[in-house]
Amino acid sequence: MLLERIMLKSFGCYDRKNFDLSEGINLIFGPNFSGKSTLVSAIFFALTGKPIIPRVNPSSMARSGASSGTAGLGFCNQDGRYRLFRSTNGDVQIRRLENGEWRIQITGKRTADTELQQIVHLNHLHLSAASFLREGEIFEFLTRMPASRRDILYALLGIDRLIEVRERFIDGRRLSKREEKRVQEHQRSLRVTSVKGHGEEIKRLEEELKALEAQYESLTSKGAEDGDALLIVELNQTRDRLQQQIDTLGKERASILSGFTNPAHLHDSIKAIETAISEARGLEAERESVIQEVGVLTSQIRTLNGECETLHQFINNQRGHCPTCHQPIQRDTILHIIEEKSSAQEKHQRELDQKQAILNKHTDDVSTLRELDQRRQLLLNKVEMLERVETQFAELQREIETVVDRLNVLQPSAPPHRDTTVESQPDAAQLAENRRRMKSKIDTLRARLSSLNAEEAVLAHKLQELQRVQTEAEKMLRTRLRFELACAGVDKTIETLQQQILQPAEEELQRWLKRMNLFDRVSIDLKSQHLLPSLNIDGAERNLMLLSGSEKMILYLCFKAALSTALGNNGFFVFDDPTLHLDVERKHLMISFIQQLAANHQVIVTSNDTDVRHALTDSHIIETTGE
Amino acid sequence: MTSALEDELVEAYEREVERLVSKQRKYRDVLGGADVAAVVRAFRFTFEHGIEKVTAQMLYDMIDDVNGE
Repeated sequence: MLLERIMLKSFGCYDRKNFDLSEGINLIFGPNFSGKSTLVSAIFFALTGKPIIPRVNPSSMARSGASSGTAGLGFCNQDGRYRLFRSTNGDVQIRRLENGEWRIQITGKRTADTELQQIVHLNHLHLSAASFLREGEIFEFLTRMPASRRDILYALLGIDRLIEVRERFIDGRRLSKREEKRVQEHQRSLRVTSVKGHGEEIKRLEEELKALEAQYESLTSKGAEDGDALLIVELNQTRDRLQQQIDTLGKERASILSGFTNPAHLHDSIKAIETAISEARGLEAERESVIQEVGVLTSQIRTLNGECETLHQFINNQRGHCPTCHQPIQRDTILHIIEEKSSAQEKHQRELDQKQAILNKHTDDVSTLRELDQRRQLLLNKVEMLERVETQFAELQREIETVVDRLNVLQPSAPPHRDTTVESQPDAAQLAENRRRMKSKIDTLRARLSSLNAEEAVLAHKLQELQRVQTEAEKMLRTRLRFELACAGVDKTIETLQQQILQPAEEELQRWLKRMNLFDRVSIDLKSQHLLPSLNIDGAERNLMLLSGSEKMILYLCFKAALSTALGNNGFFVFDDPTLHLDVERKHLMISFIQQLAANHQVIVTSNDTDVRHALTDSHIIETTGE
Repeated sequence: MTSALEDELVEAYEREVERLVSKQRKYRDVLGGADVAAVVRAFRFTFEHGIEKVTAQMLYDMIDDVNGE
């Protein structure tokens, strides 16, 4: 990249001024306050949009009294020729020379900077660190805190963003470790609760069971004949038991039939009672009717009796007339009436006595009827019990007949005597006992096997779960390793980047120092102090702060040249008064450095020193007068 | 930083990661090409979008899913 022209409008001390630049050395020469540093500032501001001096507001770079100022820069690179204009209020415009005309390529505010980056491939950190020297920069750099220099280095190399990425990867690794730990704990818990498999025991038990079952089968077939004898014993026992039950039932039946010759007699009795009850069915209604008649007659008798007493009172009161109607009383008539009523009363009394006798008889009959009904119920219960007993009896009879039939088949010639059978078969009983024991053992083994198989199923499930967790744990390990790889990759990239930039820079710096004959047998380390050159001269560390001013200046400019080479050369350097405070000898050393640098670069230098001007007579000289 | 520089950084990162896998046994025994691709993909994603937009959980999901795109 070659800077061709500086164009100022209301910028710094300039109202409107253009300065052409050339290849090689450009010396901006003029007295103090003539605007030399303004030009340096204008180049930096135009390219980066930032003031070259930190913590200065861009708007303050405008000419005094102007609302805004513009710094313009003409430059060319491999893509073409450009005019870049940037105002102090943030407007940016880039024009490109096309077919002899300057065409606006980009215009806008801050967003245009992104597009500008695509054209110039520069960033302000790069320019500030490697291409520009501003007033007072050396002392500022040397006294920076290591962390501050490290930040500059990291920003220069893009390491700051790598570190941010690494922080995120570390967060992710933390997550993966947490997940891995969770899975491991689950895994551990499964291992703790899992028990040893029962496979061997199950196998052993199965074999044992198989042998026992075979033995049992063998015992069953072998002891078939003996088993018949045993069966006879069992059948005899069953027959006896059944016989006892039949006897008990016979006694119960006899008890039920007590008072009756046989069941038919019982049924006849019930039938007779039921006939009597049926015949006496209207008796209660008749009795009720008689009761009512008795009541009516009793009432009539009482009425007649009362009337007779009233009539006797009339006759006996001596008044001679009725107290109600005052008619004279006819005594004979009244006596006649009394006689008639007494006659009727006697008649009713006789009827009442007859009805009372009938009622008494009916009452006795009804009482007898109730007793008969109770008796019938009792007899019916007996019939029911008898039927049940008869049924059980018949069943037992059938069973015993079956048992006897089987006994007859098993021992046709043997007498059905139970004691003889039992005593004659002691071996059969022993055999049965053996079989019973074996069967019990087989059952126990089967139960144990079933239990073990259930446990084995649970264990299999656990193993399956363990396997699943194992797979998950492997996946977690893989994820964690990926994160570790990601973090390690970032670390390595940072290391490599530093090495790729700093090592060539160290080598280049060493070459420059050798060229300048500044230090003999010096080794340089830019990494340990984060860009600050650590010098080891003749095996001894040299503190930069203790170097002379001229040594510091030349070393620092050599460092910039080296760093610029390592970062990718921009093609130009802008040094603001690099010979300030140098004696004649050192001035010539600095001029020599600038001339060597200018062999491959465009170098723009400001100075007010006539020695410098005389030494650089052949260079492109720009005189500044402060407008 | 220009996109060209970003690409250079991602490429440099990929080279470093591959070198680590080939040199260190703990990675070599477990991780393969798909893992390296997942890691580089996560790196590029974070580098391009910035940590303000990329959470640790997003990264975890990307890295955990080897076959994810």
